[in-house]
Amino acid sequence: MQLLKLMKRAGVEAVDTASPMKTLIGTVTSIEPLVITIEQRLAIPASFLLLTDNVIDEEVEITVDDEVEQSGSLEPHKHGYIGKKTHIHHKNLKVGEMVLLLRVQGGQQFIVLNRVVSA
Amino acid sequence: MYELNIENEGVKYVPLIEGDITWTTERLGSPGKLEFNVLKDDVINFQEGNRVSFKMNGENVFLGYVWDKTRNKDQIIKVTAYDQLRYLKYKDTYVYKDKKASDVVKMIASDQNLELGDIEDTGYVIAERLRDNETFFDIIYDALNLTFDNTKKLYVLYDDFGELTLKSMESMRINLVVGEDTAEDFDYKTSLDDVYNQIKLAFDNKNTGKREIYIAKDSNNIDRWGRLQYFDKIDEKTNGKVKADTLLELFNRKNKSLSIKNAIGDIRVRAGSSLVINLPNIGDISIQNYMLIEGATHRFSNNEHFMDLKLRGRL
Repeated sequence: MQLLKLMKRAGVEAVDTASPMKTLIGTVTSIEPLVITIEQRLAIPASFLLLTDNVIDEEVEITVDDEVEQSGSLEPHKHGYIGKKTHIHHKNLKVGEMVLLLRVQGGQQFIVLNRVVSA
Repeated sequence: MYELNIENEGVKYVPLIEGDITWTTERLGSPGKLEFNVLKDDVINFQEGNRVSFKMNGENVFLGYVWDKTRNKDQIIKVTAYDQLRYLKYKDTYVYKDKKASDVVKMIASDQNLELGDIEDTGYVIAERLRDNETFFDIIYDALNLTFDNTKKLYVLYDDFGELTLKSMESMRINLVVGEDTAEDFDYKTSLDDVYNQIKLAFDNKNTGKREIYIAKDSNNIDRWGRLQYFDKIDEKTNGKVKADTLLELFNRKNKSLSIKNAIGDIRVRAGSSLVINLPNIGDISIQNYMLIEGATHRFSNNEHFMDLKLRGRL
């Protein structure tokens, strides 16, 4: 029984040493340069991080077909607001935000999947 | 004549030893180990963590710390002591930048208050590395493996009488011949395990979107043994052709392992060093060559010193 336990533990440790893929929760502790800290013990610098477009400012093209109402010196009237417009979605990370990380096998890259909040 | 001391809070004891003293070293991931039996008397008083030093004919052999004590009815205490490599089995997290493997050893030694000895410069600079929740051993061996991948040089980490030491394998050759006349028995095995006669490396070129293949092979040995293929993916920095050729040279030879029992002892012999094996009349091939020591167990009694060795090499 003792031996079986030892073998199990050795097996687990062998797998851990290979740093298999794993999800982690981290906190953004710095922006310039970007640092994400997990469990208050490992500060991951930007060079190990891969960002998804959930957490970067993104230029988005949208098509609109709408009206805007204008009031002022003239009688209230409406203008068309139509066409392809470029918007910027400001989704850059901020200090203190929690993020969901995916550690890539080998432990040398962490993909920032998205920000998360406690429910 | 040997000399064994245990130091407890500044007091040095010379314990009465019952039976043999055994000193064991292994090449990878294990501290050096000294095992002996102490006869309990009114004088001796020692604890776990106390310093143990062992010398043979005035020469330093082992310096370490009492780790295990086992007692029995006959008032004999069986003691196991480990050298400071034992402290590399604990874990931590490291992120480091622009460091050589030798720098990593120095960094960990200084953080863990280990005594440093001769640390050979390993040359290759590791740009950036993250090791999370791993033993110090694994963090150091990871750095040494990266060094090997890029320089094809192998290093041995060991404790030299209380000093953490890193040396290249080729600098650890000992001028000593072990052969039929100096060993009681041996066990010799040749195998095709871990042998490769064709190396295939693939590089996924992101710029062209194509997979580039590098192959190195030895057709004669493929006829002889069948095709034993090594396959791996490589990244941009490595030169595929050169790496394939180097790996073929390394692996395209029969794996031989040799264990030797009761050879005449020599304290220079420890795991990681190489010595000359002279067995001219065994089977189809004779060995007269340097072989690497994977493990060495020395047994010291009053006036005798023998050693058992596990050796490895390729033909």
